[in-house]
Amino acid sequence: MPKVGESAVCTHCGLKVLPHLVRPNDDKQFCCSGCRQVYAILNECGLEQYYNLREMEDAKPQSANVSGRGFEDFDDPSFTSKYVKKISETNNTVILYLEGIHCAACVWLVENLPRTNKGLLSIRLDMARAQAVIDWDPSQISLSAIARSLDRVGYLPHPYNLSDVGRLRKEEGRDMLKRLGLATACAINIMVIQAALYAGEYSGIDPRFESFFRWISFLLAIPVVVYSARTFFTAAAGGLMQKVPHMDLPISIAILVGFSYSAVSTIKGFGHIYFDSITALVALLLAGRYIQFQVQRSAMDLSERMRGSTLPDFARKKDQEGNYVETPTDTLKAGDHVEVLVGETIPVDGVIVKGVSEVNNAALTGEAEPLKLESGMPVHAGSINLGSRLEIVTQATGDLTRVGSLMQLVNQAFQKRAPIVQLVDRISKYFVVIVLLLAVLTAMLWSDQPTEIILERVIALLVITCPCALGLATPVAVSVSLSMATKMGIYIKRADVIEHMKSIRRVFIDKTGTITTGEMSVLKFDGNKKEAALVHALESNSNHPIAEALLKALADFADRTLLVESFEEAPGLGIHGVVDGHHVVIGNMRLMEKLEIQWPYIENSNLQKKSKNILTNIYIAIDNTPVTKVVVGDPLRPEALQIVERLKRENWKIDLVSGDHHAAVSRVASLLGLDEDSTHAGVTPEEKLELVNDTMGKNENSGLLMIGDGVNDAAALAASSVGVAVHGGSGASAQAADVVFTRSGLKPLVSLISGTRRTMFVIYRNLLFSLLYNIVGAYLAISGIVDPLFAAVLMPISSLTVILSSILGQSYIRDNRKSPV
Amino acid sequence: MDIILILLPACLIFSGLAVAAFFWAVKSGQMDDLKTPAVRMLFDDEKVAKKKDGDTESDEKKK
Repeated sequence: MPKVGESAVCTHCGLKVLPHLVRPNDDKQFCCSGCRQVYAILNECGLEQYYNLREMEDAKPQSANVSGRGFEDFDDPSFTSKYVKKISETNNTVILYLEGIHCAACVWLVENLPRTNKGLLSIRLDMARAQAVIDWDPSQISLSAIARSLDRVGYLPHPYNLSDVGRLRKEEGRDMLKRLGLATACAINIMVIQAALYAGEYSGIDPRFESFFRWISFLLAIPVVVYSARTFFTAAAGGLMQKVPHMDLPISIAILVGFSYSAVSTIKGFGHIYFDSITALVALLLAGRYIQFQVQRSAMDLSERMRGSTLPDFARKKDQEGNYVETPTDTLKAGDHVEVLVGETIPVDGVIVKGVSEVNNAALTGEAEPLKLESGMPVHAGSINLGSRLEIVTQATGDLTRVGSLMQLVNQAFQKRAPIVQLVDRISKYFVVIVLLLAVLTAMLWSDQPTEIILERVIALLVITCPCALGLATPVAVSVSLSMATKMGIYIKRADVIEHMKSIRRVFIDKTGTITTGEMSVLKFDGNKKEAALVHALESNSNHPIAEALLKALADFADRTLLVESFEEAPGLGIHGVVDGHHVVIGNMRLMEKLEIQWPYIENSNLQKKSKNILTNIYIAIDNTPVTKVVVGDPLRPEALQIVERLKRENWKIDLVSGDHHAAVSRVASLLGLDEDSTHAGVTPEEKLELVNDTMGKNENSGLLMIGDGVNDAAALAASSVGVAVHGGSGASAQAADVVFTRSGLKPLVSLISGTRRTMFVIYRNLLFSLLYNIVGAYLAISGIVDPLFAAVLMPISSLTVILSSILGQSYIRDNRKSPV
Repeated sequence: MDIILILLPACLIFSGLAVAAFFWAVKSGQMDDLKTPAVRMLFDDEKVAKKKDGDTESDEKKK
């Protein structure tokens, strides 16, 4: 594999440059043509400041990706009506999602583009979400030109259509922040005033001031209860109506009882007031929930952004004059001819009318081996064209495609999902009953006292046992855990995943792209140095995935002095040409037969037998003499075996579920040491969903983890108790899954399992602490020892304990340090 | 001490204004993105212009 011999670093992105790309006698080196291009443009436009900023920021290197698209679809009327907002005749605005934003220097670069584009009024970039708000003057510049200049500097723009759910989320976030702000402001003011009242209780206070302070506290508490706390009341009412226990019920009871009693005391002029306790309670709970909401929101935004990557937004449509114009995919009609270049995702379901190629169906069916296709054969949207240019006549687009129907399955699976009652909600049910029973007990204990005292004792009990710490126990632990997971590349969309993970001991793993890398890679090459150099030189002319795999594997042997004199590609067979005077042939057996090169020893090889139908053998002949054979295949991820063994040790039951052929699946299963019973091959997406539903139906209590990457896994991911989408998978899987990895490989799975387990431990510990405080508080309230100062101190201490316990839990960081696999 | 009867409500009015300002900021979307503005303030416009001149000179020297 490639070693960095001469230590060249890309001038643009800072990544290492592969040895065969190093240009001697050049002080600027580039890791790819994209970076070279971007560097030239930045220098031309006087935007070199980018590099200073990047150094200052110490940003993670990331190579530039320039698509070179025309973006004509951005000027299409249907695009304009869907995404563009017209402010005035000379000012339009649009939000685009920019791929490749990764550091502060990106912000500077993007926001400085108006300097070099006349008519581009302004760009404002939201770095965390990679959304750019673009204002431009349509009479001076077209949106496609702006998109092209963004693409040229390495940020591929996509239309950003915030779904209704996404917009609601944004609104909800703002509402929560307003509620939190108001509650905090009032709570702090009340606390300061209350401090004067407490001091007054010990040193004496002018009754005039006392009642003044009490009235002010009362006035300040009103907006908190009416506005900020409303969310608890609605949730509690909703829970009661559906007969689902909800943590907000005891909270609402405490707030309402505390507030009304204090209000009555204020009006009467005597008796305890609890305004400080209840407003601080509201503020703290809202803060905990806001943090949790924000962390979850970033995970949801991420998957929503990836939704677009399942199918391309545009297609190259053939117009009447025979030119190919980039058109929004949703304006295509059946019968339209579209062009698909190498490396592109096919945008529609249709039939090939021109071209011979290979397509990768892995996302749709799970097959690792590319499919050879020619004119007259059907293709599906979502497949990737690997071989050569194709022309396709459209049959179906959007929801009517195979991918579209799979996405409908995902939605159905989501709707069927049972609502989940969290542990803390289940506790709250008993909590309410026990507190109410205790209230009755208190009343009975003090029944010989005047009614006022009884009432006071009962209310003290209700306020003191108010489940503040209990309400904070879960959200704080969860938000700490979620944000740490996010930093490690694990985006968790739903908080209940953490509780679910604890009991799950069964996992379905997809094969292609999940347990394997999903990429062609050279497994075996026996040739010598000279042969490797010749092969490398010839293959650098091809962009076939096998060529890419060979180039990567043989990078060490690259020799730039070799001259490729001729080069010919035989679709579906291989390549041949003359390099440095040698006739080099690289291809399959059919190519060898065609060129009449005799191979004496093929069928006896051991590897060949074992790998029947799974691995691709590539034969290499130089000057008509057989030289060697290369085995190319989709290898297991390096960490796969360790992870499977670790799961087995922890008593997980592992099933391999794949749409690929039986031979390919059982080879992987045997490598992983899984038996026949737990291997499912040739499974369609619908059968995957069924399999998940059946298994979940059989053991309802334990649940099922599903991990996958393709569109074919999406429905199963949505239906399983916890669905996990691995990095680099299709957008559909990210949308359907509960957990999305942004770090490649399966290692995040181990972090997820141990991290959630530790978080659950912290949640249990928090619940225990808060219940202990409540028991002590209840005892004191019932025995009548309690005074308001005590209540005011107990509540923050219990909340503080829970918050500290959650922060010190550090569920994922500790895990990271140990680096479990 | 009677002054407190005026001072306290006066302070609360200021607090009210602060809360109103906060509501306005949230509503106008200023709290939606808390990461980029922190980075944006580091960009120095003047320096960019100077840098540009300096670089063209050094480019010429190289040529």
